[in-house]
Amino acid sequence: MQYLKIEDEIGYFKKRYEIRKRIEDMFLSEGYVQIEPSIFEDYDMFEHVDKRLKKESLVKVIGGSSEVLILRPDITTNIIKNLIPRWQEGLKLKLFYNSSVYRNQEGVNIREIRQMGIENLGEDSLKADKEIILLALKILDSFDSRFILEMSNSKYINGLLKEMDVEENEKRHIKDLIYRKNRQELISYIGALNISKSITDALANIMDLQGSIESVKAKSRHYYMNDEMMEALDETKTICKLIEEKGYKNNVQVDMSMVTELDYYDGLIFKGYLPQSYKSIISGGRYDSFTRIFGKEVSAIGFSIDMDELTDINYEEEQRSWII
Amino acid sequence: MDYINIAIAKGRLGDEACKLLKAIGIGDSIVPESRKLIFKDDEKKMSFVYVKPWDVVTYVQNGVADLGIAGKDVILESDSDVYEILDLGFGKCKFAVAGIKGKEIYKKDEVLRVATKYPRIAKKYFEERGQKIKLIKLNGSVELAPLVGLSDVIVDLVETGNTLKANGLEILEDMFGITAKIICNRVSYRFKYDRINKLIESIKEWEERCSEDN
Repeated sequence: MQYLKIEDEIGYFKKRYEIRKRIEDMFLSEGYVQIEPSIFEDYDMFEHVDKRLKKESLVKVIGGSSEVLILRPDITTNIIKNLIPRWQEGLKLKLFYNSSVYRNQEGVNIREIRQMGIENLGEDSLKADKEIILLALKILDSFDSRFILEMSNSKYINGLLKEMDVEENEKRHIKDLIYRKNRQELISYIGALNISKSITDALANIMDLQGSIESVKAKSRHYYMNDEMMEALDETKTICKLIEEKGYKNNVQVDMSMVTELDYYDGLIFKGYLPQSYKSIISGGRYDSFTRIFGKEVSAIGFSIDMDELTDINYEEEQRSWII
Repeated sequence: MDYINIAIAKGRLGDEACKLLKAIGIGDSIVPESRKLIFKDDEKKMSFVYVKPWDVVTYVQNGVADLGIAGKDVILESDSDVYEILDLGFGKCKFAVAGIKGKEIYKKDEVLRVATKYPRIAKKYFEERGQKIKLIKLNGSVELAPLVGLSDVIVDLVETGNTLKANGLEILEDMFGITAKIICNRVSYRFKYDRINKLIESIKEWEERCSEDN
């Protein structure tokens, strides 16, 4: 952002610090410990494990002995890659960070994106799911009580796709269409593939599985095909029960057709929105299978907060209240 | 209650959209003959803005409009992160590769020169088919390019094919068909879920009634 006056710029920094402090206090009181991930990553290693990020978007730097490094494009990968290879059975970690990630972006050159977030590793998965969801709800609520948390379980769609005997790139295309809630093109696309009627029905109606958990469960009863899909619904129900007990029922919408931009989640996934913003403020989920790439499967869940967007909307709100 | 804001592509698509909105009873405030760009319905809490077709996606993506009515062509070309919640059935036409009669499209060892208003769509299409191309981005009168030797072929929207014919070109390959769509901002979709769903349902009902009448 650019500012006309120095005071405005200072005011913006002040706001950012206040927000950071507020969130940090919440993390600390829940027993999370701050870590500071390294800013550099090995280019070859990163390219190997994380194929979903476009090469052009990585910010490369050349080291003294001509090795190619990149500025970290993602914090979760950085933490997991560092800790999992040395992981000891029975270890439990609650970590938080407040750092930046760097991406090349068309038109803007290098972009610095500020993120705060937490990772909960090694804990019993249900216990960790509950803790993380409650913390996300609390943070959103502290900014605006009208917030919405969108929630799903990636095992539902993944379980459904497992039933289909189609190529990997066709599955990806199906996921893409679901991501865009493009029901009509999805129906015509799967119509051309050779798949059974029950799978076709389940896919064609997947976007109806939105709203409260009761209505989602009732509607999805006709479609589930394997234990994985049932697990997804049961886990979602358990989390919803907790949400209801804590009085956040009206803030939560279940959407079993939810697909995330990052593909490494396998379990609970969620996104938090505030009414003042048209971006997701919080996004996160469970990613046990991602830890497997680094040698060991460890229970892992976390979320990140878009600090730039959060500061922007709060700063703008304050400016407006001055004018009025 | 908040307004539902709809961005509509100006032009032929916009006229069709206006007819549709009036038919389902929410477009009373729109006066197509006027030169106004924004129409507000305080009673029904709806507002409509008329913008350039290419800008509909931008308005929706940034949340200035909750919904947008635009052709699939601009949605594909703009790499947007929006929901495409409904196909509207009107605005039908198709993408095609066109050129001078008899021109070969697929040549193993040669780079094909492609002129188009839609570089993204053209690039993706030929990439999937393994044909190397050189893109030439034009802003209009694309049909001219093969005639003056600027390109080997063009990738463009074709409705009747009359413009092609008049310029001595013909369709070498059909790519895919497109129609008008309703797109939706991902966050608006959550905050205004019930109202947006109701609106979509009433459009679907109207479409069904129309197809029964025919």
